[in-house]
Amino acid sequence: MPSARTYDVIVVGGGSVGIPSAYYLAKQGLKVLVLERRPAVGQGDNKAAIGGIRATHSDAAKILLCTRSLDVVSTWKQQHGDEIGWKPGGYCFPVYDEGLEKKLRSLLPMQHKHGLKNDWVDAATVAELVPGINPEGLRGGTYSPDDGQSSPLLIPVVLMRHAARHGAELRVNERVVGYLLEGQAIKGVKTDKDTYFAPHVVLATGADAAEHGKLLGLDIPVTPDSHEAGITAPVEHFIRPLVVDMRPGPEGKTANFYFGQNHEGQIIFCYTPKELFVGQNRESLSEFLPILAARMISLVPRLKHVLVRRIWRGCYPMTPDGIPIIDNASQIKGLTLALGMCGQGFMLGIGVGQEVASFVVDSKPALPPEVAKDVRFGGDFYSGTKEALK
Amino acid sequence: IFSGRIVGRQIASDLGVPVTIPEDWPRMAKLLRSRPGATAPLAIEDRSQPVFPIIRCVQEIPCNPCEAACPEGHITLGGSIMNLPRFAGSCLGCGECVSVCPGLAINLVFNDYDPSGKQSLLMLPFELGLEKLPLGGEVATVDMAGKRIGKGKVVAVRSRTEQDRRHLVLVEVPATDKLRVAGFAVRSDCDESLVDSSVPATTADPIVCRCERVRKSAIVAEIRQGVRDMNQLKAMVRATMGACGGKTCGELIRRIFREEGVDLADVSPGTIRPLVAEAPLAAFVRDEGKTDA
Repeated sequence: MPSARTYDVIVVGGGSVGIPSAYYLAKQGLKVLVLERRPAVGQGDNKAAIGGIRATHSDAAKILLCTRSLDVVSTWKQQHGDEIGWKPGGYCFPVYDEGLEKKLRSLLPMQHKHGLKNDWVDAATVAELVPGINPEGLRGGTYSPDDGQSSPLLIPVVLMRHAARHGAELRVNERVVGYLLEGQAIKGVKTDKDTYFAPHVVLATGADAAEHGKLLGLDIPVTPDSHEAGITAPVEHFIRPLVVDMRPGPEGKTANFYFGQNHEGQIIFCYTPKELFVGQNRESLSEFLPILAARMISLVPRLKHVLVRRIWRGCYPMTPDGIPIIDNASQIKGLTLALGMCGQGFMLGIGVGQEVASFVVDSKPALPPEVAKDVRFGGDFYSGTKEALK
Repeated sequence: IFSGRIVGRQIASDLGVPVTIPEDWPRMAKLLRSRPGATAPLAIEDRSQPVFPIIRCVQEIPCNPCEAACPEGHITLGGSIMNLPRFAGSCLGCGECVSVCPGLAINLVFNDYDPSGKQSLLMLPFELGLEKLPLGGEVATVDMAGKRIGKGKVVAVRSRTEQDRRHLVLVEVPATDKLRVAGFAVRSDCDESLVDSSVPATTADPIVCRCERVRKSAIVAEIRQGVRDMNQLKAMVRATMGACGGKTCGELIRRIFREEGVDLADVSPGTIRPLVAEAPLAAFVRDEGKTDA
């Protein structure tokens, strides 16, 4: 029987950001409802993620948010007993050209200031971290030992189950089709099945951000573009870090490419296309594996034997300047936005979830104010104005 | 086995050993792989001779041990291994044909067993173990379809060292049944209507997804926690995430949902993605110099 239900907060979107948000909100004792249009949580672009979690960024907000994610993920199994596929091993950016070496070295002081252990290592160390890496022209690289990888398949389900133990409710196969506003305040949401009321709504709809913005009369500047990834059969563990090769490919179609070995022993890989595939097309392209294989085999020749098992496509919900939107909407009271993660939603998710809980409960970020301003705090999304966002 | 002979010689030849493959071997190998031919209606002739075989072989298949077995050559296939065998002439009652037929389709009828003519003796093949056989006791006789005819008495057993799994059982039956009896059931009180044709569920915890070694209990646990999405099941326990992409276990998992009382209409199907079969990364590397993807 359809019936109107009342909650303290409704989280729209059960993915990389929505589920951690629901978890932290429920832990604080709020009555939470999560609405997910797909048949289960984490089934959107969350599960397309490679699984890397790095605090090694060049902006303070991302460093702090991802550090929080790492703290939680790296200790989850000891504290709660659930397997979430945590694999420590760090990140390694191998370097073959002088320009990139200069650039990466120049970021180190700022990263060290924020407590990161990212540092330059010599070619021999890189060769040890990535056995079989092509030594020709290898100058060395950066290595951040505290970063790691985890499973996007396991984390949302595990976190949602914990949230449920704190009283959170989840409805799947249910799509939000409208938002209820009273004046300038949010009152609730309408789905294709029912209506729910709450004084707080969290928008964590990933690639669908702009569509939900329209329903709210907001111009949310998130444009998804799709990236392809793949995974192999498992092999014996030999690559500890997640490897990021920042060079554009010789074929002229790729910017960087990255890969790592997950906790199951499978090698998971992806590249950033030089020309973006704007939109939400999730079909595989026949050019992906030939391009990827050439880059991968050129970097680590022994990987030519590894068996490719599956390929897929997922979306990066991009903002114009690459900065996520973690903010209370200024035009609508009670609406918290956690959008535009630009393809880093999985690693940011837990840190962002803590921010969302702080925004809902205390109407302010948990990040220190001098850092929080970097994540589009105070932006104006009202569809009437075309003001450039910070 | 026969085609193995041919392959063996081909391997030897590849290794440089000088061998020849007789011309008629490949022909014979092809013939042995023939699909079954026509089925003839079963027509059993009564005969008045002291002993004779009944051959319940009704479908043309590539099979000929009976022809080779008869020491008198009185079972013939008439030139083609596909033909149905015919018996003509005298019979020694040696039981060789009963012993060799792979389909247990041949039995002997001894007309000279009972001077009064009321009983006949049949020699029937039996492979289920002598410990099950009530020597001197009663069995239920059945026809070719396994349908109950009447009763018989196990008079003797003839065993041979060269065919120790198949025993030749001498069963006394009423003469009126002699042409219809094709075998016997040891439990004469068996009520066929009670036989359950379905296989009962095992209490063991089998591996359902062989690629990822996922046991049934892991899948059941997730279903009982409320999982109704194959993709979520895949994410949690890895079933259907292996090399075969769920070709093997997909249907088994749906059966488990049904066993758990879940309507399959409530279960969201899993996503099937490329590749359909694993391939080494090297397979995707193009030659240098080719211009387009």
